[in-house]
Amino acid sequence: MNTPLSKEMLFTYFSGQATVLQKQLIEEWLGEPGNTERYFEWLQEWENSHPQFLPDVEEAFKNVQALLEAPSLTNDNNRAEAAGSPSPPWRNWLRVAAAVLLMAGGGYYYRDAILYRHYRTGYAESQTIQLRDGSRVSLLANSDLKLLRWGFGSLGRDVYLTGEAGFVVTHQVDHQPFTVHTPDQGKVTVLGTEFFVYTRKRGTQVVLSKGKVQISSAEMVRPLDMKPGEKASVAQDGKIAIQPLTVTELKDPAVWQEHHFHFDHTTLADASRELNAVFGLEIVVADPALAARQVTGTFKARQADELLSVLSEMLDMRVLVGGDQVRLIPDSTDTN
Amino acid sequence: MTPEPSEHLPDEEKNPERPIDPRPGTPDATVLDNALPDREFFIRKTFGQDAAKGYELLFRTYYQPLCSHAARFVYNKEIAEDLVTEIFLNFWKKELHTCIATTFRAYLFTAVRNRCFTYLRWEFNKIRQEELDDDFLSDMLAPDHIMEMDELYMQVERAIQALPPQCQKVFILSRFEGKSYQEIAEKLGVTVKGVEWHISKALSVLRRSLKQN
Repeated sequence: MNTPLSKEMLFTYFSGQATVLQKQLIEEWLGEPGNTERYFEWLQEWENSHPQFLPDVEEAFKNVQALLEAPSLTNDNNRAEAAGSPSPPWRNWLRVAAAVLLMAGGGYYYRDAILYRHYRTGYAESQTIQLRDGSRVSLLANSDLKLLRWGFGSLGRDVYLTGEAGFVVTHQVDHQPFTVHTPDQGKVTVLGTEFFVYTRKRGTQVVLSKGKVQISSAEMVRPLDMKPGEKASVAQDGKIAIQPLTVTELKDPAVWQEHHFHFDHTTLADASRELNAVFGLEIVVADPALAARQVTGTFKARQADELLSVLSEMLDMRVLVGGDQVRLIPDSTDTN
Repeated sequence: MTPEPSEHLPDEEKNPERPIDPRPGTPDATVLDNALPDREFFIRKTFGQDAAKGYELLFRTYYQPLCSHAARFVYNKEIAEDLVTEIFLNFWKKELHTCIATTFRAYLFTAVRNRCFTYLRWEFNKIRQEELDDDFLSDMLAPDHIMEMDELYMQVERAIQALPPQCQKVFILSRFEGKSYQEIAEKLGVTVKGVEWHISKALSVLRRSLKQN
Protein backbone atom coordinates (compact mmCIF):
# COMPACT_ATOMS: atom_id res chain seq x y z
CA MET A 1 0.00 0.00 0.00
CA ASN A 2 3.01 2.26 0.16
CA THR A 3 2.98 5.00 -2.46
CA PRO A 4 6.51 5.08 -3.73
CA LEU A 5 7.86 8.58 -3.52
CA SER A 6 11.33 9.54 -4.46
CA LYS A 7 13.74 11.43 -2.29
CA GLU A 8 14.20 13.88 -5.16
CA MET A 9 10.52 14.68 -5.12
CA LEU A 10 10.69 15.46 -1.42
CA PHE A 11 13.82 17.56 -1.91
CA THR A 12 11.99 19.51 -4.59
CA TYR A 13 9.20 20.02 -2.11
CA PHE A 14 11.54 21.13 0.68
CA SER A 15 13.01 23.78 -1.53
CA GLY A 16 9.53 25.16 -2.18
CA GLN A 17 9.40 24.03 -5.80
CA ALA A 18 6.70 21.38 -5.59
CA THR A 19 3.45 21.75 -7.52
CA VAL A 20 0.07 21.62 -5.83
CA LEU A 21 -0.49 18.08 -7.08
CA GLN A 22 2.88 16.98 -5.80
CA LYS A 23 2.04 18.45 -2.43
CA GLN A 24 -1.16 16.44 -2.37
CA LEU A 25 0.78 13.33 -3.15
CA ILE A 26 3.19 14.08 -0.35
CA GLU A 27 0.37 14.60 2.13
CA GLU A 28 -1.09 11.20 1.23
CA TRP A 29 2.32 9.63 1.46
CA LEU A 30 2.86 11.16 4.90
CA GLY A 31 -0.34 9.52 6.11
CA GLU A 32 1.06 6.07 5.50
CA PRO A 33 2.81 4.28 8.35
CA GLY A 34 6.53 4.70 8.60
CA ASN A 35 6.68 7.62 6.22
CA THR A 36 6.80 10.33 8.87
CA GLU A 37 10.12 8.96 10.01
CA ARG A 38 11.29 8.73 6.44
CA TYR A 39 10.18 12.32 5.93
CA PHE A 40 12.36 13.55 8.82
CA GLU A 41 15.24 11.39 7.69
CA TRP A 42 15.12 13.07 4.32
CA LEU A 43 14.55 16.48 5.83
CA GLN A 44 17.75 16.02 7.80
CA GLU A 45 19.55 14.82 4.72
CA TRP A 46 18.31 17.82 2.81
CA GLU A 47 19.40 20.23 5.55
CA ASN A 48 22.81 18.55 5.67
CA SER A 49 23.27 18.98 1.95
CA HIS A 50 21.59 22.41 1.62
CA PRO A 51 22.54 24.25 4.82
CA GLN A 52 21.40 27.81 5.40
CA PHE A 53 24.53 28.39 7.42
CA LEU A 54 27.12 26.35 9.25
CA PRO A 55 27.13 26.90 12.98
CA ASP A 56 30.22 26.08 14.96
CA VAL A 57 29.14 22.76 16.45
CA GLU A 58 32.27 22.44 18.58
CA GLU A 59 31.75 25.83 20.17
CA ALA A 60 28.05 25.19 20.63
CA PHE A 61 28.71 21.87 22.28
CA LYS A 62 31.19 23.44 24.67
CA ASN A 63 28.63 26.06 25.59
CA VAL A 64 25.91 23.55 26.22
CA GLN A 65 28.27 21.48 28.28
CA ALA A 66 29.21 24.52 30.31
CA LEU A 67 25.53 25.11 30.94
CA LEU A 68 25.03 21.54 32.02
CA GLU A 69 28.11 21.08 34.10
CA ALA A 70 27.98 24.39 35.88
CA PRO A 71 26.23 23.13 39.04
CA SER A 72 29.24 21.10 40.04
CA LEU A 73 31.48 24.14 39.78
CA THR A 74 29.82 26.38 42.31
CA ASN A 75 27.51 26.27 45.27
CA ASP A 76 27.46 29.98 45.91
CA ASN A 77 24.24 30.65 44.19
CA ASN A 78 22.51 27.77 45.84
CA ARG A 79 23.41 29.18 49.20
CA ALA A 80 21.97 32.51 48.29
CA GLU A 81 18.79 30.87 47.17
CA ALA A 82 18.53 28.54 50.11
CA ALA A 83 16.21 30.98 51.87
CA GLY A 84 13.29 30.00 49.69
CA SER A 85 11.92 26.65 48.78
CA PRO A 86 14.05 24.69 46.38
CA SER A 87 13.20 25.18 42.76
CA PRO A 88 13.56 22.32 40.32
CA PRO A 89 17.22 21.51 39.96
CA TRP A 90 17.57 22.28 36.29
CA ARG A 91 16.35 25.75 36.89
CA ASN A 92 19.17 26.29 39.30
CA TRP A 93 21.58 24.90 36.78
CA LEU A 94 20.68 27.53 34.34
CA ARG A 95 20.83 30.29 36.88
CA VAL A 96 24.04 29.11 38.37
CA ALA A 97 25.40 28.54 34.93
CA ALA A 98 24.43 32.04 33.99
CA ALA A 99 26.12 33.37 37.08
CA VAL A 100 29.23 31.36 36.41
CA LEU A 101 29.35 32.60 32.88
CA LEU A 102 28.96 36.12 34.12
CA MET A 103 31.86 35.79 36.51
CA ALA A 104 34.03 34.01 34.01
CA GLY A 105 33.80 37.15 31.95
CA GLY A 106 35.89 37.51 28.83
CA GLY A 107 36.16 33.97 27.56
CA TYR A 108 32.46 33.54 27.79
CA TYR A 109 31.61 36.83 26.26
CA TYR A 110 30.14 35.14 23.24
CA ARG A 111 27.85 33.01 25.35
CA ASP A 112 26.88 36.02 27.36
CA ALA A 113 25.84 37.86 24.26
CA ILE A 114 23.63 35.00 23.23
CA LEU A 115 22.13 34.18 26.58
CA TYR A 116 21.39 37.74 27.50
CA ARG A 117 19.78 40.68 25.92
CA HIS A 118 21.41 43.97 26.76
CA TYR A 119 19.76 47.34 26.89
CA ARG A 120 22.22 50.21 26.92
CA THR A 121 21.83 53.91 27.09
CA GLY A 122 24.47 56.38 26.09
CA TYR A 123 25.32 59.85 27.25
CA ALA A 124 22.22 61.97 27.95
CA GLU A 125 20.01 59.17 26.74
CA SER A 126 17.27 57.33 28.53
CA GLN A 127 15.02 54.47 27.59
CA THR A 128 11.90 52.80 28.92
CA ILE A 129 11.82 49.06 28.54
CA GLN A 130 8.74 46.94 28.79
CA LEU A 131 9.63 43.46 29.96
CA ARG A 132 7.76 40.33 29.03
CA ASP A 133 6.23 40.00 32.47
CA GLY A 134 4.65 43.43 32.14
CA SER A 135 7.22 45.17 34.36
CA ARG A 136 8.68 48.46 33.23
CA VAL A 137 12.22 49.73 33.55
CA SER A 138 13.25 53.32 32.97
CA LEU A 139 16.92 53.20 32.20
CA LEU A 140 18.76 56.48 32.75
CA ALA A 141 21.89 57.65 30.96
CA ASN A 142 25.06 55.51 30.76
CA SER A 143 23.35 52.45 32.04
CA ASP A 144 23.19 48.83 31.08
CA LEU A 145 20.45 46.38 31.87
CA LYS A 146 20.68 42.78 30.90
CA LEU A 147 18.36 39.86 31.22
CA LEU A 148 17.94 36.37 29.86
CA ARG A 149 16.97 36.54 26.24
CA TRP A 150 14.84 33.44 26.42
CA GLY A 151 14.27 32.38 29.95
CA PHE A 152 13.16 35.69 31.44
CA GLY A 153 9.81 35.03 33.06
CA SER A 154 10.01 31.26 32.88
CA LEU A 155 13.43 30.82 34.47
CA GLY A 156 12.85 33.47 37.08
CA ARG A 157 12.90 37.21 36.82
CA ASP A 158 16.50 38.26 37.21
CA VAL A 159 17.97 41.40 35.75
CA TYR A 160 21.50 42.77 35.97
CA LEU A 161 21.96 46.49 36.25
CA THR A 162 24.93 48.78 35.95
CA GLY A 163 23.98 52.42 36.21
CA GLU A 164 20.63 53.88 37.20
CA ALA A 165 17.10 52.72 36.63
CA GLY A 166 13.61 53.04 37.98
CA PHE A 167 11.56 49.85 38.19
CA VAL A 168 7.82 49.27 38.19
CA VAL A 169 7.51 45.56 38.79
CA THR A 170 4.31 43.61 38.28
CA HIS A 171 3.20 41.11 40.85
CA GLN A 172 2.85 37.64 39.36
CA VAL A 173 0.07 35.24 40.27
CA ASP A 174 2.63 32.66 41.28
CA HIS A 175 4.51 35.22 43.42
CA GLN A 176 7.60 34.89 41.32
CA PRO A 177 10.25 37.21 42.75
CA PHE A 178 11.95 39.85 40.65
CA THR A 179 15.63 40.37 41.44
CA VAL A 180 17.93 43.20 40.44
CA HIS A 181 21.58 42.17 40.61
CA THR A 182 24.18 44.88 40.99
CA PRO A 183 27.85 44.63 39.96
CA ASP A 184 28.95 44.70 43.61
CA GLN A 185 27.04 41.45 44.10
CA GLY A 186 24.14 43.14 45.77
CA LYS A 187 20.63 41.94 45.20
CA VAL A 188 17.31 43.70 45.39
CA THR A 189 14.43 41.26 45.50
CA VAL A 190 10.78 42.19 45.21
CA LEU A 191 7.45 40.65 44.34
CA GLY A 192 5.78 43.65 42.80
CA THR A 193 6.57 47.25 43.56
CA GLU A 194 8.18 50.49 42.47
CA PHE A 195 11.72 51.39 43.30
CA PHE A 196 14.84 53.04 41.99
CA VAL A 197 18.34 51.60 41.84
CA TYR A 198 21.62 53.44 41.41
CA THR A 199 24.66 51.24 41.07
CA ARG A 200 28.04 52.40 39.84
CA LYS A 201 31.64 52.50 41.04
CA ARG A 202 30.54 54.68 43.92
CA GLY A 203 28.35 52.00 45.39
CA THR A 204 24.70 51.14 45.28
CA GLN A 205 21.60 53.02 46.36
CA VAL A 206 18.03 51.83 46.41
CA VAL A 207 15.03 54.06 46.97
CA LEU A 208 11.66 52.46 47.52
CA SER A 209 8.45 54.26 46.61
CA LYS A 210 5.85 51.53 46.95
CA GLY A 211 5.58 48.01 48.34
CA LYS A 212 8.42 46.22 49.99
CA VAL A 213 11.82 45.12 48.87
CA GLN A 214 14.59 43.00 50.28
CA ILE A 215 18.15 43.98 49.80
CA SER A 216 21.31 41.99 50.30
CA SER A 217 24.96 42.53 49.48
CA ALA A 218 28.08 40.43 49.21
CA GLU A 219 28.81 41.35 52.82
CA MET A 220 25.29 41.01 54.17
CA VAL A 221 23.88 37.90 52.59
CA ARG A 222 20.82 37.79 54.82
CA PRO A 223 18.44 40.21 53.16
CA LEU A 224 17.21 43.33 54.92
CA ASP A 225 13.66 44.60 54.49
CA MET A 226 13.01 48.09 53.19
CA LYS A 227 9.82 50.08 53.55
CA PRO A 228 8.41 52.73 51.23
CA GLY A 229 10.07 56.11 51.63
CA GLU A 230 13.37 54.61 52.68
CA LYS A 231 16.72 54.79 51.07
CA ALA A 232 19.30 52.04 51.33
CA SER A 233 22.95 52.62 50.58
CA VAL A 234 25.40 49.84 50.01
CA ALA A 235 28.92 51.03 50.67
CA GLN A 236 31.93 49.66 48.87
CA ASP A 237 32.66 47.31 51.76
CA GLY A 238 29.20 45.75 51.32
CA LYS A 239 27.65 47.28 54.47
CA ILE A 240 24.03 48.29 54.01
CA ALA A 241 22.57 51.35 55.70
CA ILE A 242 18.84 52.01 55.54
CA GLN A 243 17.53 55.46 56.37
CA PRO A 244 14.28 57.33 55.75
CA LEU A 245 14.19 59.88 52.97
CA THR A 246 14.12 63.49 54.10
CA VAL A 247 10.92 65.48 53.75
CA THR A 248 12.13 67.28 50.65
CA GLU A 249 13.30 64.07 49.09
CA LEU A 250 9.90 62.51 49.75
CA LYS A 251 8.07 65.42 48.21
CA ASP A 252 10.00 65.49 45.00
CA PRO A 253 11.37 62.27 43.56
CA ALA A 254 13.64 64.28 41.32
CA VAL A 255 15.60 65.34 44.39
CA TRP A 256 16.86 61.93 45.40
CA GLN A 257 17.86 61.19 41.88
CA GLU A 258 20.03 64.28 42.01
CA HIS A 259 23.73 64.09 42.64
CA HIS A 260 25.55 66.81 44.49
CA PHE A 261 29.00 67.92 43.62
CA HIS A 262 31.15 70.13 45.76
CA PHE A 263 34.13 71.50 43.95
CA ASP A 264 36.63 73.68 45.73
CA HIS A 265 39.48 74.69 43.47
CA THR A 266 39.11 71.31 41.89
CA THR A 267 40.91 70.81 38.61
CA LEU A 268 38.82 69.79 35.64
CA ALA A 269 40.80 66.54 35.51
CA ASP A 270 39.71 65.69 39.06
CA ALA A 271 36.16 66.83 38.47
CA SER A 272 36.05 64.55 35.43
CA ARG A 273 37.14 61.65 37.56
CA GLU A 274 34.36 62.46 39.99
CA LEU A 275 31.83 62.57 37.18
CA ASN A 276 33.08 59.27 35.95
CA ALA A 277 32.52 57.67 39.35
CA VAL A 278 29.03 59.09 39.63
CA PHE A 279 27.75 58.76 36.10
CA GLY A 280 29.91 55.97 34.76
CA LEU A 281 30.93 58.21 31.93
CA GLU A 282 34.39 58.26 30.45
CA ILE A 283 35.58 61.83 30.09
CA VAL A 284 38.75 62.71 28.26
CA VAL A 285 40.47 66.05 28.66
CA ALA A 286 43.40 65.91 26.30
CA ASP A 287 44.37 69.57 26.55
CA PRO A 288 46.68 69.94 29.60
CA ALA A 289 45.85 73.63 30.10
CA LEU A 290 42.16 72.87 30.17
CA ALA A 291 42.65 69.85 32.45
CA ALA A 292 44.44 72.06 34.95
CA ARG A 293 41.73 74.70 35.13
CA GLN A 294 39.90 74.86 38.40
CA VAL A 295 36.24 74.78 39.32
CA THR A 296 34.67 75.96 42.55
CA GLY A 297 31.07 75.67 43.57
CA THR A 298 28.24 73.33 44.47
CA PHE A 299 26.34 71.72 41.67
CA LYS A 300 23.33 69.52 41.40
CA ALA A 301 22.67 67.26 38.47
CA ARG A 302 20.66 64.21 37.66
CA GLN A 303 22.57 63.44 34.52
CA ALA A 304 26.09 64.13 33.42
CA ASP A 305 25.01 66.36 30.57
CA GLU A 306 23.35 68.83 32.93
CA LEU A 307 26.56 69.35 34.82
CA LEU A 308 28.78 69.34 31.76
CA SER A 309 26.76 72.05 30.11
CA VAL A 310 27.20 74.27 33.16
CA LEU A 311 30.91 73.54 33.29
CA SER A 312 31.33 74.21 29.61
CA GLU A 313 29.79 77.67 30.10
CA MET A 314 32.13 78.37 32.98
CA LEU A 315 35.31 77.14 31.35
CA ASP A 316 34.76 78.06 27.73
CA MET A 317 35.02 74.54 26.55
CA ARG A 318 33.12 72.34 24.21
CA VAL A 319 31.66 68.93 24.95
CA LEU A 320 32.11 66.40 22.19
CA VAL A 321 30.21 63.17 22.50
CA GLY A 322 31.35 60.11 20.62
CA GLY A 323 30.43 56.54 21.45
CA ASP A 324 30.91 55.84 25.13
CA GLN A 325 33.27 58.74 25.50
CA VAL A 326 32.95 62.43 26.11
CA ARG A 327 35.79 64.70 25.10
CA LEU A 328 36.25 68.14 26.55
CA ILE A 329 38.17 70.58 24.37
CA PRO A 330 38.91 74.28 24.65
CA ASP A 331 36.40 76.37 22.78
CA SER A 332 38.69 77.69 20.08
CA THR A 333 35.94 79.54 18.22
CA ASP A 334 36.00 82.58 20.45
CA THR A 335 39.62 82.82 21.48
CA ASN A 336 39.79 86.39 20.26
CA MET B 1 6.12 39.40 52.68
CA THR B 2 9.06 37.22 52.01
CA PRO B 3 9.63 36.72 48.36
CA GLU B 4 9.59 33.01 47.90
CA PRO B 5 11.17 31.52 44.88
CA SER B 6 8.14 29.83 43.48
CA GLU B 7 7.95 26.14 42.92
CA HIS B 8 5.46 26.82 40.25
CA LEU B 9 6.88 26.32 36.84
CA PRO B 10 4.17 27.01 34.35
CA ASP B 11 5.79 25.66 31.26
CA GLU B 12 6.63 22.42 32.95
CA GLU B 13 3.32 21.86 34.58
CA LYS B 14 1.27 22.10 31.50
CA ASN B 15 3.83 20.11 29.67
CA PRO B 16 3.60 16.59 30.85
CA GLU B 17 5.92 15.15 28.30
CA ARG B 18 4.24 12.19 26.79
CA PRO B 19 5.71 9.57 24.60
CA ILE B 20 5.06 10.38 21.02
CA ASP B 21 4.05 7.70 18.65
CA PRO B 22 2.61 8.72 15.34
CA ARG B 23 1.42 5.22 14.62
CA PRO B 24 -0.49 3.98 17.63
CA GLY B 25 -0.34 0.27 17.91
CA THR B 26 2.94 -0.11 16.09
CA PRO B 27 5.49 -1.58 18.42
CA ASP B 28 8.44 0.74 18.18
CA ALA B 29 11.03 -1.97 18.27
CA THR B 30 10.06 -3.10 14.81
CA VAL B 31 9.83 0.45 13.58
CA LEU B 32 13.30 1.15 14.78
CA ASP B 33 14.74 -1.99 13.31
CA ASN B 34 13.08 -1.63 9.97
CA ALA B 35 13.15 2.05 9.30
CA LEU B 36 16.39 2.99 10.95
CA PRO B 37 19.36 1.16 9.73
CA ASP B 38 21.19 4.46 10.10
CA ARG B 39 22.83 6.58 12.72
CA GLU B 40 19.73 6.99 14.84
CA PHE B 41 19.91 3.36 15.85
CA PHE B 42 23.50 3.81 16.86
CA ILE B 43 22.62 6.87 18.96
CA ARG B 44 19.97 4.91 20.78
CA LYS B 45 22.43 2.15 21.51
CA THR B 46 24.92 4.68 22.83
CA PHE B 47 22.29 6.12 25.15
CA GLY B 48 21.74 2.63 26.46
CA GLN B 49 25.39 2.34 27.42
CA ASP B 50 26.25 5.84 28.56
CA ALA B 51 23.73 8.67 28.63
CA ALA B 52 26.39 11.41 28.52
CA LYS B 53 27.95 9.89 25.42
CA GLY B 54 24.50 9.55 23.92
CA TYR B 55 23.80 13.24 24.45
CA GLU B 56 27.05 14.21 22.87
CA LEU B 57 26.42 12.05 19.85
CA LEU B 58 22.87 13.35 19.56
CA PHE B 59 24.07 16.92 19.69
CA ARG B 60 26.86 16.44 17.21
CA THR B 61 24.57 14.64 14.79
CA TYR B 62 21.64 17.02 14.83
CA TYR B 63 22.80 20.44 15.93
CA GLN B 64 23.85 21.67 12.52
CA PRO B 65 20.88 20.47 10.44
CA LEU B 66 18.51 21.72 13.14
CA CYS B 67 20.10 25.17 13.20
CA SER B 68 19.94 25.34 9.45
CA HIS B 69 16.30 24.37 9.56
CA ALA B 70 15.46 26.86 12.30
CA ALA B 71 17.16 29.61 10.31
CA ARG B 72 14.65 29.07 7.51
CA PHE B 73 11.93 30.16 9.89
CA VAL B 74 13.53 32.88 11.98
CA TYR B 75 16.14 34.07 9.48
CA ASN B 76 18.58 34.87 12.23
CA LYS B 77 21.67 32.81 12.96
CA GLU B 78 21.89 33.70 16.58
CA ILE B 79 18.26 33.08 17.36
CA ALA B 80 18.26 29.84 15.38
CA GLU B 81 21.16 28.59 17.51
CA ASP B 82 19.45 29.79 20.67
CA LEU B 83 16.24 28.00 19.90
CA VAL B 84 17.97 24.78 19.00
CA THR B 85 20.11 24.94 22.13
CA GLU B 86 16.97 25.39 24.16
CA ILE B 87 15.44 22.27 22.65
CA PHE B 88 18.58 20.30 23.48
CA LEU B 89 18.69 21.59 27.03
CA ASN B 90 15.09 20.59 27.44
CA PHE B 91 15.91 17.15 26.08
CA TRP B 92 18.72 16.81 28.61
CA LYS B 93 16.87 18.05 31.61
CA LYS B 94 13.77 15.95 31.04
CA GLU B 95 15.83 12.94 29.99
CA LEU B 96 13.67 12.57 26.95
CA HIS B 97 15.77 9.74 25.58
CA THR B 98 13.96 7.50 28.02
CA CYS B 99 10.48 8.35 26.85
CA ILE B 100 10.51 9.27 23.19
CA ALA B 101 8.82 6.66 21.08
CA THR B 102 9.58 8.20 17.71
CA THR B 103 13.08 8.67 16.48
CA PHE B 104 15.04 11.39 18.24
CA ARG B 105 15.30 13.01 14.85
CA ALA B 106 11.54 13.29 14.41
CA TYR B 107 11.20 14.66 17.91
CA LEU B 108 14.00 17.20 17.57
CA PHE B 109 12.91 18.49 14.20
CA THR B 110 9.30 18.77 15.28
CA ALA B 111 10.21 20.49 18.53
CA VAL B 112 12.48 22.96 16.76
CA ARG B 113 9.86 23.75 14.13
CA ASN B 114 7.27 24.27 16.78
CA ARG B 115 9.62 26.48 18.76
CA CYS B 116 10.29 28.56 15.66
CA PHE B 117 6.59 28.89 15.00
CA THR B 118 6.11 30.07 18.56
CA TYR B 119 8.95 32.49 18.14
CA LEU B 120 7.56 33.99 14.96
CA ARG B 121 4.15 34.38 16.55
CA TRP B 122 5.77 36.09 19.48
CA GLU B 123 7.84 38.38 17.32
CA PHE B 124 5.31 39.33 14.70
CA ASN B 125 1.98 39.01 16.39
CA LYS B 126 3.20 40.37 19.70
CA ILE B 127 1.75 37.51 21.62
CA ARG B 128 3.13 37.36 25.10
CA GLN B 129 5.51 34.53 25.69
CA GLU B 130 3.39 33.04 28.45
CA GLU B 131 0.30 32.78 26.32
CA LEU B 132 2.04 30.60 23.86
CA ASP B 133 1.84 26.93 24.07
CA ASP B 134 4.99 24.89 23.81
CA ASP B 135 3.39 21.52 24.24
CA PHE B 136 4.69 18.76 22.15
CA LEU B 137 1.73 16.70 21.12
CA SER B 138 1.52 13.61 19.01
CA ASP B 139 -0.77 15.30 16.49
CA MET B 140 2.18 17.45 15.52
CA LEU B 141 3.28 14.49 13.52
CA ALA B 142 0.04 14.44 11.55
CA PRO B 143 0.59 15.05 7.82
CA ASP B 144 -1.36 18.31 7.71
CA HIS B 145 0.53 19.74 10.66
CA ILE B 146 3.87 18.80 9.20
CA MET B 147 2.95 20.42 5.95
CA GLU B 148 1.65 23.57 7.60
CA MET B 149 5.05 23.98 9.19
CA ASP B 150 6.71 23.46 5.82
CA GLU B 151 4.38 26.04 4.36
CA LEU B 152 5.43 28.50 7.05
CA TYR B 153 9.15 28.41 6.32
CA MET B 154 8.50 28.45 2.61
CA GLN B 155 6.35 31.51 3.05
CA VAL B 156 9.09 33.28 4.99
CA GLU B 157 11.49 32.43 2.18
CA ARG B 158 9.10 33.68 -0.50
CA ALA B 159 8.48 36.93 1.36
CA ILE B 160 12.21 37.58 1.69
CA GLN B 161 12.92 36.62 -1.90
CA ALA B 162 10.29 39.06 -3.06
CA LEU B 163 11.95 42.00 -1.32
CA PRO B 164 13.70 44.54 -3.55
CA PRO B 165 17.42 43.63 -3.83
CA GLN B 166 18.79 46.44 -1.66
CA CYS B 167 16.14 45.91 0.99
CA GLN B 168 16.88 42.19 0.97
CA LYS B 169 20.59 42.82 1.36
CA VAL B 170 20.10 45.17 4.30
CA PHE B 171 17.66 42.82 5.96
CA ILE B 172 19.98 39.81 5.69
CA LEU B 173 22.98 41.75 6.95
CA SER B 174 21.06 43.01 9.92
CA ARG B 175 18.96 40.07 10.86
CA PHE B 176 20.88 37.06 9.65
CA GLU B 177 24.41 38.31 10.12
CA GLY B 178 23.62 40.42 13.16
CA LYS B 179 25.43 43.50 11.80
CA SER B 180 24.72 46.87 13.33
CA TYR B 181 22.94 49.57 11.35
CA GLN B 182 26.14 51.56 11.32
CA GLU B 183 28.15 48.70 9.84
CA ILE B 184 25.54 48.06 7.19
CA ALA B 185 25.33 51.72 6.28
CA GLU B 186 29.10 51.84 5.81
CA LYS B 187 29.22 48.60 3.89
CA LEU B 188 26.47 49.51 1.45
CA GLY B 189 27.19 53.20 1.29
CA VAL B 190 23.78 54.29 2.51
CA THR B 191 22.71 56.33 5.51
CA VAL B 192 21.72 54.78 8.83
CA LYS B 193 18.26 56.21 8.30
CA GLY B 194 18.09 54.40 4.98
CA VAL B 195 19.07 51.15 6.69
CA GLU B 196 16.35 51.66 9.26
CA TRP B 197 13.85 52.29 6.53
CA HIS B 198 14.76 49.12 4.62
CA ILE B 199 14.57 47.04 7.74
CA SER B 200 11.24 48.35 8.84
CA LYS B 201 9.95 47.79 5.34
CA ALA B 202 11.22 44.21 5.26
CA LEU B 203 9.72 43.52 8.67
CA SER B 204 6.36 44.89 7.68
CA VAL B 205 6.34 42.79 4.51
CA LEU B 206 7.19 39.75 6.59
CA ARG B 207 4.57 40.59 9.17
CA ARG B 208 1.89 40.98 6.54
CA SER B 209 2.87 37.75 4.88
CA LEU B 210 2.78 35.87 8.18
CA LYS B 211 -0.59 37.31 9.11
CA GLN B 212 -2.13 35.62 6.12
CA ASN B 213 -0.93 32.34 7.45
